[in-house]
Amino acid sequence: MSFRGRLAIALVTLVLVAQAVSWLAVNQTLDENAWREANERLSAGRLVVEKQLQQRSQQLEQSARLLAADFGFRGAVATGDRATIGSMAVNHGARIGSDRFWILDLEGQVSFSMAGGDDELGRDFAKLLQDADANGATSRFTTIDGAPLQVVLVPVMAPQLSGWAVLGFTLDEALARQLRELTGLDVSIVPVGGSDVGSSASSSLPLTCFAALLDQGMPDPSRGIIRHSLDEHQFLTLRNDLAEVALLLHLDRDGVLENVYQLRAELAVIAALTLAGSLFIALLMTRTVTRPLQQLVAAAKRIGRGDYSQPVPVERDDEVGSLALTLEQMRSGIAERERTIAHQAFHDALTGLPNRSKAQQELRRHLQHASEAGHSLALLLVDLDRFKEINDSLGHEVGDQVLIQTAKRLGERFDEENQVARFGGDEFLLMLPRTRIRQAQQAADELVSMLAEPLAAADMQMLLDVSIGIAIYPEHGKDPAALLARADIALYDAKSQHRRWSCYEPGRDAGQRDKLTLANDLRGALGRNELLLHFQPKLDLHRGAVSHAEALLRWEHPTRGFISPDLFIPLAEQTGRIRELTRWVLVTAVRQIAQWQEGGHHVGAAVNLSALDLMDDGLPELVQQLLSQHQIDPPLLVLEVTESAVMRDADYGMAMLHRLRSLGVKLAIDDYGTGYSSLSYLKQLPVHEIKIDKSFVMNLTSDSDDAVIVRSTVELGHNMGLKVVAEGVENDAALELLRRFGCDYAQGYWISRPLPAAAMTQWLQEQQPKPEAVHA
Amino acid sequence: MVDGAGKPVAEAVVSLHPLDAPAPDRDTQLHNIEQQGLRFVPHVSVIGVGDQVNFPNQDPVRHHIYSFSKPRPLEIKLYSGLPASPLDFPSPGVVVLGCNIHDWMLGFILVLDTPWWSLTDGGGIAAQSAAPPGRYRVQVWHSRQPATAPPQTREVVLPLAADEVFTLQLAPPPDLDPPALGMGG
Ligand SMILES: [Cu+2]
Repeated sequence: MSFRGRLAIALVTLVLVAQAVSWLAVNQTLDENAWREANERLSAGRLVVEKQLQQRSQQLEQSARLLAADFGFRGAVATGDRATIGSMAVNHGARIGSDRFWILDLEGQVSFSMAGGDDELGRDFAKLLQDADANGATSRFTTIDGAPLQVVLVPVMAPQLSGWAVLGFTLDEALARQLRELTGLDVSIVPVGGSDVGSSASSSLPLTCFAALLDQGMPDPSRGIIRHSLDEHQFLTLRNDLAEVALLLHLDRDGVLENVYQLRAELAVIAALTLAGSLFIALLMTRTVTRPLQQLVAAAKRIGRGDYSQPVPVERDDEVGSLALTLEQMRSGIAERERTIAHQAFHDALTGLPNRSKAQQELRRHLQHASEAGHSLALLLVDLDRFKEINDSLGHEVGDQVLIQTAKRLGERFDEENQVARFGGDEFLLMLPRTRIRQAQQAADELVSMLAEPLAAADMQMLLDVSIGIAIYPEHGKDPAALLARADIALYDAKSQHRRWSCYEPGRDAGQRDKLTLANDLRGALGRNELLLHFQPKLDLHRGAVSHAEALLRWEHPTRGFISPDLFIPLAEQTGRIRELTRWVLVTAVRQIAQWQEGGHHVGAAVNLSALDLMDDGLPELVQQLLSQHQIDPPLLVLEVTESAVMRDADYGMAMLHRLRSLGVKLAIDDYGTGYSSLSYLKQLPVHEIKIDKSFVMNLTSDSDDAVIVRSTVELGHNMGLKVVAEGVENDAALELLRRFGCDYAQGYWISRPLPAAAMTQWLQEQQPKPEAVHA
Repeated sequence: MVDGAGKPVAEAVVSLHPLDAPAPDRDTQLHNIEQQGLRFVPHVSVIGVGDQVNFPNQDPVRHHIYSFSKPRPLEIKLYSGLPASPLDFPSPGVVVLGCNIHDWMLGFILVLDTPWWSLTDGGGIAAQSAAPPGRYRVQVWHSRQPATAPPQTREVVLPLAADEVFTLQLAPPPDLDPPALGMGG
């Protein structure tokens, strides 16, 4: 049984017992009251009856005395005038209600009886005479011929005692009724000790009850009030003996108890109401007592199910309250631990941001919301540029600092709704609900400028560049995977196009797929001889002769034709195929130098090295081997690297440059001006020349800013002992300007577009006779 | 004359009634029974047959004297002073007098047909010397003897050889005092 049930039963039992006890007590009091009332009524009735009979007795005596004092009566008695006596007795008896009348002679013998008859004469009233007082009078309850009678005896003086007059009242039913009128009690008058009581007794009781009483016999007078049943009626009877007459006073028990019954019925109603009320209160109490427990049970079950979110209600000060408090502390403790665990599972330990899996989870949630509400959702994939370089050159601690600071900035900029997650090593994902393309682009701009603020990490001020790929739901995809893939594509576009951010362009997926097939095709391109080198001459402005030609890799795809190096070189870098390609280019270029030498052209070749090539440990050995194999003068081979390629792993890259330089080959910094290397850093690089990026050179004649840059770069390079190469020379004016600036070499369409090896050889032969033209 | 306890009884009337010859004639006499102090005075009167009795009322109140006795029932209603005429008593016997107004008033008139009677003295002795010798009926009467009991009689021959002794059963003396006087006394 439940605690509540037991409690309810205990309370209800208590209430029932209390009710029963009070019921019994009240009942007993009622019974006592009823008994006492009966007693009082009977006793009072007896007094009334006695008084009444006494009154009658006095009345009778007075009447008798009056009669006895009557002169005529006295004369009649004294002279034995029976006729006169008779007439007077009738007259007198009628007046006072006396129905029996006798005259006794001096001997005590009846000398006259109103009833007449000879048997009356000579009747002995000796007993009555014995009781006569000093005045010769007496009254008595007696029986005459078995009939109960109240008699009065008075002497008749004429003037001496001449006889006695005896007056009698019959104690009959009329009297009993009269007494009942007075007392409210039934009265029975029964002669004592008579043989045939029934005929002479009388009563106000109903006949059947009276008959039952006579059948039962007279109650013992010493027993006081008795209870008995007369013809199925309950009576309380008090017997009172008056000489030879027994007076019985009967109280109808039902009559007395009527009030009690009524009271009892009222009490029963009250008790029932009280009981119902008590039960209700008891149930309420058990409810209030057990409800907190049930709440605790519910709370404990919730915790058991692993739902720690709802606090345990603690509303009380008692034991239940402290239990609830303990449970609540347990719950909050578990909830806290669970939150921590969940947090660790779903958050990045370093930045505290949601991790990748959490981000994907959140993305699903955001998408769900967006699709339900019909909103848009912008995905911004933020990538830190050159983070690997920072990590490699400045250490992981600085890298971590950069990540933490970046995360902090992002977190401060975007509120909870716009969620930020760390999606990869140096990738952050932003989910901006209700954001369309334009707003996303604005956000990207904001992000770029915000993150471009100098960053303090490890006591250094750092400048950070980011690339951002943007994809919008629902325009760019409906499911998380597609959206993420497209944000990634956009990011790739941004990086490859050197833009800060890029929005996904529909259809780019196809290009991406192209890239994949292209990457696959690239794998067999070398074997199928689809790759070849074009050469673009580099003019020595001082000598007016071509000193080198930059070897540029070309891919003749069997079905798609010419593939731009901008397209497949990054592919090769991404797929790790670049080393293979670079080695092939080196081999081919060096062989070409050798061929040119055989043809009488002292022209070198420049080969581009990627960042991955700088990490190719076997590269210096290969170069050494090729140079010696073809007996090539090392300075004829120029190796070009970009600043970023070196910075990819600065230490390693630097070491590699030193090893290559020690071979005697020339080293050049390619695309100078697009990177961010400080000059002091550049100074440390063991290179011989820098190649100014063609973007500066192409507008050289139209943009004075670019001219300043080019000029100062030339001067700077010269100051540092470097040769300066200008790429992208597309007109004569530019060439002239470069010459004026003192630039050492020039390269561009104005001199020659990149040509296949044979054409290049041809071009070299054509150039030899007209060096003047070049000078002009 | 003694009572039940053997004590001498005074004021008993002892009369001699000749058995062999009629009683001698005599002159009628007039007696007075006064009502004085709400009493009959004298309480007991002995008169001869044919005598007359006057009932003068000496009291300031009226009386209503009566007798239901057979020898001479009488009734004199509410009078004061002397009644119109005296009453005669032609028959022998005891006449008990009462007053209808004052119940305690009691008087006796003993009417005798003989002149020879006497009252016992304090020693209970009555003597008679006037009657000639002969046979007599001796009658003894006392006012306190029970009404139901007739006077005792006895035959004697005069002169007596010895004293005759009578024993009487007597009621206690009646209270003849008027209640008011009695209360006053
Ligand atoms: Cu009088």
